[in-house]
Amino acid sequence: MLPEIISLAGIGFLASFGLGIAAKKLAVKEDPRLEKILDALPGANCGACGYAGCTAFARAVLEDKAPIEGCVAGGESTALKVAELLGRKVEKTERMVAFVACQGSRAYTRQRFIYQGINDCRAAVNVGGGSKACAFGCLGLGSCQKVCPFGAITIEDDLAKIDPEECVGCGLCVDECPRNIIHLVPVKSTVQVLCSSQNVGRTVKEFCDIGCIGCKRCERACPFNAITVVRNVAVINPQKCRRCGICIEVCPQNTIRSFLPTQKLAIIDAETCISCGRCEKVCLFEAITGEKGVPYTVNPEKCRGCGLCVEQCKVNAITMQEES
Amino acid sequence: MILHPFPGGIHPNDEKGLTAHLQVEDTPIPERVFLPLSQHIGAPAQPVVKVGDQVRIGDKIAEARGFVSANIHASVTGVVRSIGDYPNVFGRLSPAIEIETTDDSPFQPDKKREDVLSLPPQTLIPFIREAGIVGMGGATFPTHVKLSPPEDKPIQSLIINGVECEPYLTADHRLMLEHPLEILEGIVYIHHILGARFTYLAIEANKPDAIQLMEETVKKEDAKINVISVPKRYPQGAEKQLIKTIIGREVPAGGGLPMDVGAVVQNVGTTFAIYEAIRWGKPLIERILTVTGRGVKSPKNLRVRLGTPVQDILDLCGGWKTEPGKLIMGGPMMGINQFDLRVPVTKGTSGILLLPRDEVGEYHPHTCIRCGRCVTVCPMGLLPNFLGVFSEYARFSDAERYHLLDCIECGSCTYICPAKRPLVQMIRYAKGEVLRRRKKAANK
Amino acid sequence: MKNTLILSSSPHIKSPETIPTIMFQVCLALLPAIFVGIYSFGARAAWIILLAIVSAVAFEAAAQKVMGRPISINDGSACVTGILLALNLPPTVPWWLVIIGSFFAIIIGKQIYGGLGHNPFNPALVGRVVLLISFPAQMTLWAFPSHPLFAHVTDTLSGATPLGWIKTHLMTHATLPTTLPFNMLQAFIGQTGGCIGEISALALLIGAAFLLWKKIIPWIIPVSFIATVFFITGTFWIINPEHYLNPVFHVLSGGLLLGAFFMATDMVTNPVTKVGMLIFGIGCGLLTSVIRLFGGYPEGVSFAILLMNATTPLLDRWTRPRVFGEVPHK
Repeated sequence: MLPEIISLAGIGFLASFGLGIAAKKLAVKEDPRLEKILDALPGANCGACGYAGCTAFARAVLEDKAPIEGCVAGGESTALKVAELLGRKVEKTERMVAFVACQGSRAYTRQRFIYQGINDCRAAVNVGGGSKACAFGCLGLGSCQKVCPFGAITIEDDLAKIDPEECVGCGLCVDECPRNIIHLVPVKSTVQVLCSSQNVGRTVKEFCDIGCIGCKRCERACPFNAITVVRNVAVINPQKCRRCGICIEVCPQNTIRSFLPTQKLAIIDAETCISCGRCEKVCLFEAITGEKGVPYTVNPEKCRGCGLCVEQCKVNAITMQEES
Repeated sequence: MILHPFPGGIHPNDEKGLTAHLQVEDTPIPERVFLPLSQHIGAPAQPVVKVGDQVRIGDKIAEARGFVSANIHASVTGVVRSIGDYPNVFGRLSPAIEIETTDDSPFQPDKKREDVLSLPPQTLIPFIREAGIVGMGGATFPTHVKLSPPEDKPIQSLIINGVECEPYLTADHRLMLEHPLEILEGIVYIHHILGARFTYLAIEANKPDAIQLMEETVKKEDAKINVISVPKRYPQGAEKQLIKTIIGREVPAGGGLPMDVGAVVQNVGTTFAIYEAIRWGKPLIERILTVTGRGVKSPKNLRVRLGTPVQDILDLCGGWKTEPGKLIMGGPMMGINQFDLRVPVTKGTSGILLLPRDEVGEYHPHTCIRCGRCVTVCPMGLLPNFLGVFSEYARFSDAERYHLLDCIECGSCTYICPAKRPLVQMIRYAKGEVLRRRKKAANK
Repeated sequence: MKNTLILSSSPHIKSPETIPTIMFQVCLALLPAIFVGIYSFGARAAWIILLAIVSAVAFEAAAQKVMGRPISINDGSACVTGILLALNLPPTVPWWLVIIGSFFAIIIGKQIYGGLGHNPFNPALVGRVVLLISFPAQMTLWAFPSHPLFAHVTDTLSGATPLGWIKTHLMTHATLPTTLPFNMLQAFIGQTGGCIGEISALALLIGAAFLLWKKIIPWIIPVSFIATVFFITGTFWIINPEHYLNPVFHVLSGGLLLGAFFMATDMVTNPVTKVGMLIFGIGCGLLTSVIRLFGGYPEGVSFAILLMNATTPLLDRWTRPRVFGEVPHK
């Protein structure tokens, strides 16, 4: 018994000694900050920064080849952390989210044939152009879901849905979608036309119950001229849109939606208000009322959070608050 | 003659008995035809007519754009009704010229060229180019390009492909039986153009009547053509495999062309079209195709005007006999599945195959069980099982290392797979991804 | 209705062969061996085979249920594993050993890796080797075939396999006796001791011929496997016939034929390339011969195949066939 114990212990000792020496001798010198940067990064290795994974990106940042704010997935907070580590400053980045410009789930759309083959949009689109009757619709086979490193995409009833809370705006799905119907938008411009069909209205109705038919009602209704119908589909200009939601109401097909439910609300600070009445005049929705001498008030039922009044107020008495 | 068999291959039932004995029938002139501007590999043709124009049969209505492209001619006499998007064989929309028939007069050749062989070889190519001839076996590569090899690639062997290894199809078979002399003359013309040392006409052994007839014709006309009976095995008619079988040389992998081994292969249908173009100045406005399968009421071999919608042809053949399963343009191994009956017959349509529902079967792929049957049958010596797995797991660079891009998509692996894996689709998908990545890398 | 057409990528026809038809034909090919086993060892053999099949299928179904995979017991692969496991057991094994064997074969050998197609080792052999190492006493308790159909054999425990007999004999003697207690004919038709399915070379060859004729198994592996064993044991026999057994015995006795035709050819666990198969077969033969001639165990087919299973991915990678039109690198 004893010789075995001794010999085994001996082997163990020798091996660990060897390993120890090897670790010292063969150690690769790395910038100690690399480890720290890596800790600050999300570690999903999504590749959205254009480098092969987080380590490659961290190295590139250290060598000044990649911008500090280059990590799309981590967004602003990560950029700040990395900047702090390196003692540098970052420019403010705007958070982007992806959304699918189609709501043609199984219940609303028609199929033109029965597809037999691989469960992957990019493969399926080569068989007869995809089985969904609408050539601009989501195929719902989940190529985007597969490529999303953050699990933000789910497929429900043949339709991809992106959870804006989970989405970090890396854009991998945008690239992957064979129908090119996933778009990246700033998180604040969440009122979107959820259809990409360039077909004429009659054809759209043949294929789908909730597609844009290009009727231009939203174009006419938009108080900010933010919507134009291009190639039979409404397009919202994010620079002009103020998320008032009028278009959502007038759309006969329920094609326009706000995919982040939070709505903003104007609040007038009674102390600062000088009752000049400029806000009342500018409000398009008759949400602000008041009289001279008394602070003006906002009717939360009517306010749509467009923020026009904020710009008009000379004494900065109006602020926009998030209404949950 | 010693043949050099290619590796792999499969032996599906050839099912040619449905139509092999049926004389080619002329179809009635369709009421309207839809001629896609892209019926060939290469740049789409450029329309040279306007909506409302009167066109006569055989008039050029769209012109080749660039060298690798082909002219398109009116297949009926009538009025151009529209130039716009129309369903194509890939299930998408692409530009096509619609002609409404006003007159059912046949094509009238205005001249008969008698002195063809006394003309310098190079002067014959414009006739072929003008006629808009493309490879009619299905590849649709513009023929004039194939017949203009560069100076440094001399052509030793001309191989005329009458193999027709796709099951079900009998169009080339009937063509050889009904027009042996014309084909022979076409071969002589091509030979005159290329000046090849050896000329072969390869026919699969399951067409003994065609082999015998062509041999007799060759003997009677005293032509220097070797009629070769090649063993029945799919894909015997694939260009690379046919070259290997006959001259024993392999077209180099990784994008090699037949001319790299001094060979040119032409389909018999193309040869016939070349004969008509050179001898009679007749452009490519019609072709022979087989309407077959156990799903169609009366299978036929038909001579069809290009641009005829599939619906017209189905009506002529009595429509579906059984519950519809699959409608395929081309053969069952490499043909393209269709769902829209408005799709027109194009230059590359060798058949319309209707498979009943009970022959199509359920789709239940299993994981690969590594039986290796696909490896045994692959005529390109690839490992389809690995390519399939690489594609499944998005390992595209590994797939490329395993010669993904050399796959000819013949379908042998998918046919033989006991796990019923859609290997060809996986490979096609992976090819698309590899090319997409390359493009992306090039743009960066 | 317009949308009733089916669309898929080409090709649009498929061969009638499916996984279940392959498995069914393998079962069919094993029938002669099963029959000889039952004929020789009586009802007990039938009971073991049945128990192995039922438990293997049950474990497969249970594992798939637990893992949330589709239940695929209809493909017949668990049935084949059960039969092969039973055929690799001595006729005297207690019933619970069969269940343990099935458990290791199906759960540890196959389902843990992801089911049919993902297992690196032949499941039946995993089961058998686990039993052989863990329960050596039960696994080497042989019985001589007793001819009266369905006679109980548990009483006649004196039997031994030819290879086992040689091994024990050589432990105490320097040379082999001039006359062996068994002859070639006995080994050929199945009158020596051994596992249920391995005793009759004739029955196995009939089954193998069927599989080769139907092209279910490639010929390269069994031929190279058996030829290698024959060549190596033959070389030693020529050098020293007093100490080494005749190569014909080596081929006919033990699990070689069963292993070479039915288990080394398990398509999931052997290479897909021709050269790979050849190396695989030769490797199996080499290891089998080494274990038989010099190892502690009298039989080495199971170990040899399992070890070579482990090399399969490497063999596949190293022996990629030449692509059509590929110019060999210089």
